[in-house]
Amino acid sequence: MKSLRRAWCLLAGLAALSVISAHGQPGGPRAQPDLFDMMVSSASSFDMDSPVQAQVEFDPPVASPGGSVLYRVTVSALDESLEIPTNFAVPDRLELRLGGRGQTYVPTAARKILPETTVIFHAIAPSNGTYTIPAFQAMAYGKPVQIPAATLTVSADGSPAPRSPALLLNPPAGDVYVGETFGLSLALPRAADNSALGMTDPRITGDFIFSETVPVSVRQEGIQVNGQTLQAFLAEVTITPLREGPRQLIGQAFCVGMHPIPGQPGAAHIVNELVDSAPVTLAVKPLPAEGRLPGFTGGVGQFTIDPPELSAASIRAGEPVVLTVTIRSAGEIGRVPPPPAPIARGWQTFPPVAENPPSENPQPRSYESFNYTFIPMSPEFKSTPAIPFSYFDPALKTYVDLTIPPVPITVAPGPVSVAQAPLPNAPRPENDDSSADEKELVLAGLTAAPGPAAATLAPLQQRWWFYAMQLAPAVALGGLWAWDRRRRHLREHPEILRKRRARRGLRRQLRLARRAAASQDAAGFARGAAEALREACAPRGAANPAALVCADVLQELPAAEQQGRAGEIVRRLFAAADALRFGGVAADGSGLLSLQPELEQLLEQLKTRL
Amino acid sequence: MWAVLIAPKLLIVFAALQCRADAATTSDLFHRGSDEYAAGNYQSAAELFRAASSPPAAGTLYNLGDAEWRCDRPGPAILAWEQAQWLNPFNRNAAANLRYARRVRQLDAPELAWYEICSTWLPVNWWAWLACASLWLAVALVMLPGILGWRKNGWQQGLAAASFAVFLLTIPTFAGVHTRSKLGIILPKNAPLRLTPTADAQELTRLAEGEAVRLERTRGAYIFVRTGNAAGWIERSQFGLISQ
Repeated sequence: MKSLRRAWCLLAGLAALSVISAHGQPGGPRAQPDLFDMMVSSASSFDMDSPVQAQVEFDPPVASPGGSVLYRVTVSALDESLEIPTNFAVPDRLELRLGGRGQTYVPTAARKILPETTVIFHAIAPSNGTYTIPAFQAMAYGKPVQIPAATLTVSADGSPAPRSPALLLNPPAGDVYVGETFGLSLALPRAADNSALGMTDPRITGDFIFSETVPVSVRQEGIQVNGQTLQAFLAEVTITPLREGPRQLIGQAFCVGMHPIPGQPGAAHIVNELVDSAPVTLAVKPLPAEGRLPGFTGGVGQFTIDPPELSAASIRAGEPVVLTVTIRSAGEIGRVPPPPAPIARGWQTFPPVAENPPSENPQPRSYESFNYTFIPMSPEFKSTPAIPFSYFDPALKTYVDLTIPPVPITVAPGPVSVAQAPLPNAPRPENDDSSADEKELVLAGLTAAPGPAAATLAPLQQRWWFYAMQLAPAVALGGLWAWDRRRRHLREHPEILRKRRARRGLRRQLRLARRAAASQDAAGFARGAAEALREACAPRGAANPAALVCADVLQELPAAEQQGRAGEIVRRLFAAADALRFGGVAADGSGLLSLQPELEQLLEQLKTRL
Repeated sequence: MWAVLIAPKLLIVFAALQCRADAATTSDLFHRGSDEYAAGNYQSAAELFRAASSPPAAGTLYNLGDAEWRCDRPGPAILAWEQAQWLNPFNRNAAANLRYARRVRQLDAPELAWYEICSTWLPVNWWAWLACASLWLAVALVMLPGILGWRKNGWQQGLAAASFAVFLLTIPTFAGVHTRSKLGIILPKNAPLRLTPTADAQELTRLAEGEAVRLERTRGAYIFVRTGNAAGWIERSQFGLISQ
């Protein structure tokens, strides 16, 4: 796009030049032909087949000592694709300073146009002699390009200045601040020898300097240079410094002129060559941090606002209304961003939209209009919210408040769904139990007490001990249930308790009998053995063990054993025990004690039946 | 022998004294933080409140949110207010500050399901206590009359039914607390949301400071989170879990 525009400018310049030549009025204002028509009618295409070629020259080739010299490198390639090193070999005492750099298009014999990029270096001619910059290598389209050698001759009869004209760049008066958009005049004095007949594509370059790329109109008027009035081509270039500090500016443009053809007296050809200005240092100041007002969006200059306009004076709650705000500048408004939409309670607001969408190449203008869309959520509003806006005035050296004022509006009640919808921006009813701070939409203050502390923020259900704790009531209730169940079971089966009691009593009495046998206590053995037999036989008769007699015990023995050895043992033991109990007669000790093994065998049989 | 009997009692007394000492220290930090806040030293106030928030208390966390907000750290401020709400949903100032902060920062409140909204009606731990109390009360009222031989009364059965109904009603809130415990807040400005859990992964988008996201899973130093309209991996250090 940029390349096409330059091509159009070149073609327009050539066309204007031809018109000037034809009418013999070279100093007249440049016409504004329809560039698109010219482009279409020319039907030129780009020459992408020709090999990249490089040319170098010293201007003038023979310079006087101390005179100004240009070292010009021209390569038939696009500017973006050309890389020229800055550290190529330079003869001693010849110091080069980088100047302008630009691209133009040159028509070829095959009705095509060829891109051509020119880089200018400035130097001061040293003492008499011959100085050669040897050939070096540059890169174009990613391939090496050989830049040929060039020789400068310095002699007393040389030219003190280059043949090409120089641009004049006027620094701005007064302080310049970061972000300030302003215009600088670039002047190209008209030459009497027709070497400067027009100026195209004026630009200003420099580190952290943004130069608008919009087409700039070129006019012709008289300027004062060293007390003399000269006719010159003038262009106003708009720039914006992006960083504070000293910034070096270089103006450049393409000069359309006629150069005589050597060896052909009276013949000349039209050339379009890059010219530049001497560097100008611009002191860019930072914006003061103090006094910055709300709504400052980076605007530096002098602004005013037109009375804001509403798309409708009366709306219903929930309906959008558009507020149009026009900001005007004393000069070029540049790219000042609009103030953001305010955050207002009860209003739904949307970011501003420029009426002229931002583009890479905005048209120069002194005003910009923005549309803010507001939606009132309640019928209680009488005006739109104010929009804070401020800018920095470099003349006053201070920030200026330019808040967009509220605009009266009538808001009627909206549909029920809108009025009752709990939208976050909707004003709260009076009976709402929200705190006063919430109603005012401000940060609530501190609380006076920390309140009860928790061990951790993790919820109880994510802690193991919470589930472990549930075992306690589960175990308690489960235990109660089991106890109740067992109690009911034992109530239905009382023999279980009797047998358990019998086993316990059997063990106890057998232990006593064994202890008595060990101590050769026949009476104690007989008493313990009889009690053990009673305990073992009591559950089957559902009787109290103490109430059993020998016959009861014998009945519990198998019929075959009642008259056998087992029955005899029982009778002997009960006889001894009864004799001891009722008559106080001690039993035959050795005879009774010898029954212990058989007694234990018998009790073991009875025990298995419990 | 007597040492065995005395030792547990001494341990309990020591623990009680330690708790009282910690409480005194926390209270002191809290009041010092309030003084610093009143003096306009918000940074030191935030540090004191942060120190006082262990163990966490709703009031301390609320004040911590205020101090962080004054320090222009909306992410930690919103996290602290959310934690204060987590512990004490009856704190209307914390809710108002959350609404205020989200309005100012153009942030959306986290979208909650119905059972999560129900779980915000009471402090998170109340639901757990309510659930276990209602369950065991219902079980006890069903079992004890039979075990203890009480005569069955209508009020016992009604109370048991009501307790069981309360338990059933707490189950969704129980789930709501669980899912809400995965909510978190983005702490730094413009945290990159990545496609994969690596530092060189493609950035899907950037998350605003203070935006609410849901934690889904963790892998190394990255966690997978889901927002209202995007999901991806962020660094663990850029995320503050409300329940942690």
